[in-house]
Amino acid sequence: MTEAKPNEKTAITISGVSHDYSGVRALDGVDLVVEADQVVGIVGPSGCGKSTLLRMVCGLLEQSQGVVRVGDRDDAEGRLESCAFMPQRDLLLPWLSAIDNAGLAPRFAGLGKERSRVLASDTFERFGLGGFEGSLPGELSGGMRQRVALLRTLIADRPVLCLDEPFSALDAISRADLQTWFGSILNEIPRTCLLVTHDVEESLYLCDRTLVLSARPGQVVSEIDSPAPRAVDRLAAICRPDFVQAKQRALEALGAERAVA
Amino acid sequence: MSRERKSHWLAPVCVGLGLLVIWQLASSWGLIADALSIESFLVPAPSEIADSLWQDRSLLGSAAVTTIVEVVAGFLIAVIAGVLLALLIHRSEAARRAIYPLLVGSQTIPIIAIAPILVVWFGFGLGPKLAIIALVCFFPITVNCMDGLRRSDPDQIRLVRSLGASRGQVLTWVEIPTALPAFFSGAKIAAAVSVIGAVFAEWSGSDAGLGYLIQISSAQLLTARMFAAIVVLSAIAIVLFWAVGAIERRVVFWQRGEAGG
Repeated sequence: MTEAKPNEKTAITISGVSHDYSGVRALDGVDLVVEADQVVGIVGPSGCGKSTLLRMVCGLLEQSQGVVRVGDRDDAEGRLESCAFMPQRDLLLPWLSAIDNAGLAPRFAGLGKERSRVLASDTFERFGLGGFEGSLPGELSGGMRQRVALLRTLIADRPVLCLDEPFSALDAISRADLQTWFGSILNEIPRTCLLVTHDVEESLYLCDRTLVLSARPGQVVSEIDSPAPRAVDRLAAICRPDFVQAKQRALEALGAERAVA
Repeated sequence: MSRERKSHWLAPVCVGLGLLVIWQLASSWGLIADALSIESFLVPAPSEIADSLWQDRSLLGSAAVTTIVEVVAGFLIAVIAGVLLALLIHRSEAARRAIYPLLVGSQTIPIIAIAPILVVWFGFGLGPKLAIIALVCFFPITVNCMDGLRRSDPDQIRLVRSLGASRGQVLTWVEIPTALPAFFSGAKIAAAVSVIGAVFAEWSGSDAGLGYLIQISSAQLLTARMFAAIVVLSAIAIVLFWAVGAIERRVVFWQRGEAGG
């Protein structure tokens, strides 16, 4: 594994980061450099500190040791202002319509209700949500709710997207559909993106490279480049021999050789 | 009308009618008076109460108007005071430590004991009556509102913070809407007990209202009129409870779908 060095294109720098929860080390000496518009996946066993790492990048958690820098800000408040966070659950506000949920960030920034709606409605159709602007979250399917949540994250217009298992709550078919769709969105609107997931295939398909963390305390044990990130034909991409090899390497790094067999 | 909706009111109506029939028969045959070893005119039959409701309608109506004004005004004061107190306690840990024990302590003082003191201090006007009703009502509102404010999902708060929400915006966009169902639960309890406060207040010093009417009817042994006043009091509480429920269904509109599955 080669150690990347920060340069002028660097969007995220994580250097020697460790974190303890009540004396228990969750992360241990993690280094990562992510360049602008690069999509990086983080996979690892449960409890290895993937989500912890993501929350640190977002400024929602302060690391015990090391430096986390997003753009030129290494303070939590600055990182919070630079990142848009999407948690595992869609966490849509049930009392707001889909379009008002999507336009939350501009509303918080002081933009009026109508202007926020106009801003969101520009992309609503493209996200396959046309006609559902006024629907409440309770009236939407799981896949649609995730789309609204992703739209909400994108409309926040932050330089960095931090996604914490965004598709894990969906069934396999919806998940595959949304992966293809989200890949096309990222191709169309390139963003620096950190994606935490349990799904190695999802990470290899959506991300330019995938970091594999060890069991707690999480350390980077492998870094794998994706052969065909965000290819239009997802099925063809994930069946490619080099994709299968990359997946095998990632699973081996995760200590899942038996699963491969 | 759907069968399910019909069963909502049919069962309590049948039980109520059944009890009335038993009461009517027991009263007509003097069974209750014999069991209590009292004069039979002291135990009015439902038909006599109904007769009093009609014969004394003017007296009951004017007394009811006085009590309704007291109850509604006292209830609204309790809502305003209870919500403000809950917000203060929610926002400030120091306020919680300072006020919460006093809040609980205030409920250990019997209202029936404190009501005459308030009348002695503030006279026979509307003020002390409103204070007594508000004292009865504000505790369930405050406690439920406080619990509701604390019920917000920490992940939801983290999410809106990452979207740029200030502390005030977190309160207005997440915490207050989350607290609304709990607030309405407290308000419905308060609505139901508000008439108890009104009766205490009128017993302590008043020359009008249903509580006063019960008091003078008791002195004159007009038990049918006493029961008629109680029926009207109960109807006021039921209507107020229903009105709060109707407002809740409009305000907490996103729970309609959830309740319906």
